[in-house]
Amino acid sequence: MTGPAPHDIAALAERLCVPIPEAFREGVADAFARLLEQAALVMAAETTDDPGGDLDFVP
Amino acid sequence: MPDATALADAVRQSRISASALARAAIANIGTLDPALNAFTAVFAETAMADAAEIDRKIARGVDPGPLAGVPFAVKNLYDVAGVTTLAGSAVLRDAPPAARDATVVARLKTAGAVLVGANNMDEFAYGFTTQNAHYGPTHNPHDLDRSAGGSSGGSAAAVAAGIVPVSLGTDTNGSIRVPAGFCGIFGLKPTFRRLSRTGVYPFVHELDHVGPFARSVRDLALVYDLLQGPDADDPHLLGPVEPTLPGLETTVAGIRVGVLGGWFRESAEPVVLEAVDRVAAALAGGRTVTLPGVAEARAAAFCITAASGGAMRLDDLRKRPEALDPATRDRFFAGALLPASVLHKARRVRLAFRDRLRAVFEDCDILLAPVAPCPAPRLDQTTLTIGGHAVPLRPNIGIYTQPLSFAGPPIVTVPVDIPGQMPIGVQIVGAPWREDLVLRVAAMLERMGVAHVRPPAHVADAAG
Repeated sequence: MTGPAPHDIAALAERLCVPIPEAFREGVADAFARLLEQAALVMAAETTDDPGGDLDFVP
Repeated sequence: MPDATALADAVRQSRISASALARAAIANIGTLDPALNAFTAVFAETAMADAAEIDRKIARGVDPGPLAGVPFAVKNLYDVAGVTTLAGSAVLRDAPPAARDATVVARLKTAGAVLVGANNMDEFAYGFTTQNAHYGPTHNPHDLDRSAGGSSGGSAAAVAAGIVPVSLGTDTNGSIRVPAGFCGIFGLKPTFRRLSRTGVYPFVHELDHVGPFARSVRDLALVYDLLQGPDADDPHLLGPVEPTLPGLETTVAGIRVGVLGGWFRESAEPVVLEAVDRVAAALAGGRTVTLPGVAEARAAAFCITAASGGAMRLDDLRKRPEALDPATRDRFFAGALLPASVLHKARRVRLAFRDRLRAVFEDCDILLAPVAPCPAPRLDQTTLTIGGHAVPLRPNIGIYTQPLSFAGPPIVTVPVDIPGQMPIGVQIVGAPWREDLVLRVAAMLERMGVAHVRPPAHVADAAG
């Protein structure tokens, strides 16, 4: 599984005011890589052009 | 192990007192829970007081309610008046106690049930194994070396072990269905937005459900019926009150059964597929149904969960990340960094997938699927083999539950007992708002002996 390097994620997080302590960076990088894998599937999925989705979701 | 219905009957007919039942439940926690770790709090004093009040009502000839004297427990993310709601975390330990009971907890108490304790869970409900760094793992009553499932593992283990006949959990991506399956009991995830979530600590508001565990389908239906009803404090509630218990024994004839194929069979161990096929055979076969877009739906649920969970915990991530469970902390960090475009797209995937599921229900009345790709894993197990590849165990236990709940239909987990194996859970999925049908099918499977709750060996050993 590949994703951004731990130091790149740490820099992004720092910029977003969610600093990641050094000891947690490897674990977060692994979790982020798994998340990106799923995000890629989402972004490639076929959907309608409805704007935004529906927070008021009705089953 | 009598079920809640039988216990309430006995109390109402004065064959046993509510106080005696509460005392027994508390004693059972003392005897069994050191090995299980299903409870994080025991409410002995209030339980005995509540039970005494039930006994006084009976003595005065006042109706004590349909759950008279029945002990119950709740996942520790439910508000209980006077108790701090932990949601499986350490960061909430110093939060003020809840001012009042969660709506659904209050409803069960009003019906005469007696709350005896709060149950262990994955931190903030983010997990499928109830391996909690702060409160320890919950052990499966059928094999103490194995997981009880999660995130409502304590609630399921407490019912499976016979400590309480019913309990409440929550299900965001499978957290009722997985522990019900691993512990070999019944669990209901109702239709999204059917039951009040007032006073229930949120994990992912747009995906969270509340629901019951039980050792019989009639108990599951009784508790579910009692939980229904309008709540002025929950503006998201939808759907009318539709009692299921009166029609529970009605014969289910001519229903169209679909067995979900493709994604829902590719990664499952043979024993899991055997359980699904037993249920299908009992329901006169069923045909294989392909539900399109499952991988994308599961991915979308995965992303929404991470992003919403991360946003919920932003303050903790900034101020005290070391206080979070390592099993959740890294995923919360990752979710907090996910681009918003993914979240928006994931919500559109949800709408498309809901429509695909609706289309499948035009030709089927119920769908069958495994709860998990494997029986309850060992607590020291870290990977799962899917498609010949080792993948991390914890996030992948929910590959069959996560996409289905994403569309919001009602789902009952029924336990299938295959000799020599751990219990196996099978999902009975209905069209939205058809709790009545999934419960009727579950009741029929129970009458046929296909769905069966086996008393766990650990309890038998402890009982001597």
